[in-house]
Amino acid sequence: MVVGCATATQVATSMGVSAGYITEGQKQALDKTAVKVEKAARPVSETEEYYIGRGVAATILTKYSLYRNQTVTAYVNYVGNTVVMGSPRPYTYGGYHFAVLDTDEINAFACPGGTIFITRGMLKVVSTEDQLAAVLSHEVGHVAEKHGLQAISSARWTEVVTTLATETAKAYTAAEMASLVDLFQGTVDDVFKTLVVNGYGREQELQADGLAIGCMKACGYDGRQFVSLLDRLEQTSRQASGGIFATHPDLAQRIQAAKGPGAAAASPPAPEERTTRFKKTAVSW
Amino acid sequence: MLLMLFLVPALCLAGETVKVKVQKASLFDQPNFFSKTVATLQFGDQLELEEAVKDWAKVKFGQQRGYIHQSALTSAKVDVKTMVFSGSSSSGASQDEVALAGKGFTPEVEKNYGKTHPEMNYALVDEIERYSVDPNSLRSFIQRGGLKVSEGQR
Repeated sequence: MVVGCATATQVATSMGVSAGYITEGQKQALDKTAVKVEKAARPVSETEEYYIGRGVAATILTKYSLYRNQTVTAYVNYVGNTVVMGSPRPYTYGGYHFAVLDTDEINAFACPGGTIFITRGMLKVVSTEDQLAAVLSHEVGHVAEKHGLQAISSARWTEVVTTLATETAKAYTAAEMASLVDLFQGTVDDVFKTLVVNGYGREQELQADGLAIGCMKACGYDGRQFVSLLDRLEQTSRQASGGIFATHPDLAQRIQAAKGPGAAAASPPAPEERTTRFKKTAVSW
Repeated sequence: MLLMLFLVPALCLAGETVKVKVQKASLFDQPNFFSKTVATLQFGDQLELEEAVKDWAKVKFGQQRGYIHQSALTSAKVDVKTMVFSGSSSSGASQDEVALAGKGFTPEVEKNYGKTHPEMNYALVDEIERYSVDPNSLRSFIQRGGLKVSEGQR
């Protein structure tokens, strides 16, 4: 709805000049401000989301090592790509890719654009493929709803958009580039702090939980195992701290919500193959 | 009148042009990720929307017809590199729209960021982005696991 704001302002200021309420100079200043506000309101594009996500992923990789086990990585990507198809946003600019971090910290991170990390610590908590699907579905839910991008401070995004030149020249000036690089770092830092340090808001977590259960059901996974996963995490939290327990403090509330009206109905038992492949891969993590 | 508004498809009206907003997407012969691939589409490809079918769009791409998931599409009337004026009523791009197209956080910005932050291991990010799953293997994984091929959810 912000699309017409600048045009509407220009019409209003023209009328203001005609009626003698404002001068031509004041009209021009107001029109310029309206265009700036309109530009500042523009959302992050799909490609920008992708580059921000790459920056966040690179930052995460300065803190954690990548677990380069082909069997585990392949399996996580198979489960992850299965649940992606059950999500409301199966396509992102660069697609979804799943990687394992070599740490015992219990955690998972969804970078804007679709790179999703899960730690070995989290893999050791899940006891079935359905619970692994629960973790990955939850992270895919954050990507689908662009929760990571919502962490970008509005002041910073306004500065990004207003820094962009209005000339038709295709290349950035050196000054523009230096400014954009600084703003890019700030943007990446905003998202990283939410993912790794502070955590998402309660509403975003509950939204991702709801999407995850829906996603699991759409793919044929047992949605009740989402509650089982939360129960396991809740039990583990009594002995562990940090990681997901620092960024996701409301486990009891989440368990209650997951058991609420939107709770998953019973599913047929998993076939032997699903259990076997999980157990076979789990020995490697 | 209000009821008619609720019946309008999520994208836009049939006959309008939509564009691919992701790097790569498949055009399928059915609204299903494992049906036959009719064409592989690239970022910026223009399609003619014929109808919306749940989360999918039936489209025409040149002489080919098929289905593509709506999450791969934008109905923006300007260059897909910017989302500045989505739904703009103007028939052509304004000077500002052209100026902003392709600007923002681009590969050039990332390259310059990488130069000033050598601790950022973009090569590792590139490696992760090469992790992919073959569609036939994925279908087999789904079937053997007693799972189902989802058609997406809204």
